[in-house]
Amino acid sequence: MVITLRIFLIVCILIYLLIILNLLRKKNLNLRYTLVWLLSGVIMMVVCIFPDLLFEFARFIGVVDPVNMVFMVEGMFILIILLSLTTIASHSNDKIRKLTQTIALLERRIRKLEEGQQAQDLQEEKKCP
Amino acid sequence: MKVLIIIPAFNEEESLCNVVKNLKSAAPDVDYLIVNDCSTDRTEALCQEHDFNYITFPVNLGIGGGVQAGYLYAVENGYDIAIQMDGDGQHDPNYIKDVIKPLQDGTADMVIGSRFITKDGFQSSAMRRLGIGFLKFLIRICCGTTVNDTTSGFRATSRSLTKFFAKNYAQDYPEPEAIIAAVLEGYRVTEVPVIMHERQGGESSINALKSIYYMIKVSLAILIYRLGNLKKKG
Repeated sequence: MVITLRIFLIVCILIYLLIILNLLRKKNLNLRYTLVWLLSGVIMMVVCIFPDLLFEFARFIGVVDPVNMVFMVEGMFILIILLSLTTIASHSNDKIRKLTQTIALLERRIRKLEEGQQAQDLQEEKKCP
Repeated sequence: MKVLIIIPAFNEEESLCNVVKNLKSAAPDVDYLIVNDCSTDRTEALCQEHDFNYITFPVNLGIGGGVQAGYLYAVENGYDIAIQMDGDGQHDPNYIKDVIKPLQDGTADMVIGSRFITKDGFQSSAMRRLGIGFLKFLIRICCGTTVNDTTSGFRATSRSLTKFFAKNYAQDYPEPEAIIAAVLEGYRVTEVPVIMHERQGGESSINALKSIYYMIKVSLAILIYRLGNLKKKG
């Protein structure tokens, strides 16, 4: 990997990490869901600083141009992040369903209580006008 | 035995009143609960006007979430039997005593009202019967139980199975999946013949375009459920 590309990638990753940290600081991101983003940035950074390890592996599995290996790893990270997002969406979906059902059942109980209360009030009004 | 009829309703203003009227005359001693799944028509207003027993969702959850809310209600209020019955008039309340009979006798935990045993009444289109037949085949090879009317929404569940469904129930197109879930959890599933009518109003939740998605989703759900419970024997 030529030195200019390495420097360019390292600067990009630094900016990327700074943006994430800034979003975390402003509480626009929940750390729980951001760990996979941070991890991907850190690993890409390590790869850019010490590229030989990854390139050794690239030669071994038959990637002709080692730089493609960098893009491939990035692509894999994106897939993992998307998958984790789908997991999060599924969990949120379950929670929304449970909440909706609970609200509906509670709403009915409140309605019945209020009806009972109104009937009671009416009776008392009749008793002592 | 305390029996609850769960009536999931999404935009059923045309048929809902008749369904409840028929239910009250055919089975006066059972309770019912209408689950209004955030309808956009006058379903909720009708429930209020007629003082029906109903709950209403602030957001649309789909049939599975609706029926599950009914199961939660049944558990909360200590019902012995919960029966799902569609809000579109397809299911005849005169058969309620038939679907609860095996539960009362203690010979089954889930009873499905099937239109394909005596083959009387509304039989659905040929394409649908083909799909239902395929699901029957799939459920048989996955858990060894034969259910003819796999998509029937007319079904009764015992107290313990109701409790299970209150915790675990598929959200969209849940009927076939619920069968395999019940069998793999060790519950006994059986069928009784019923006669169904053509829907009185509203639209089916499954139109022509959605049916391919339906078949793929439900088949996958059944297979994945089987894979997730490899050690259990139906």
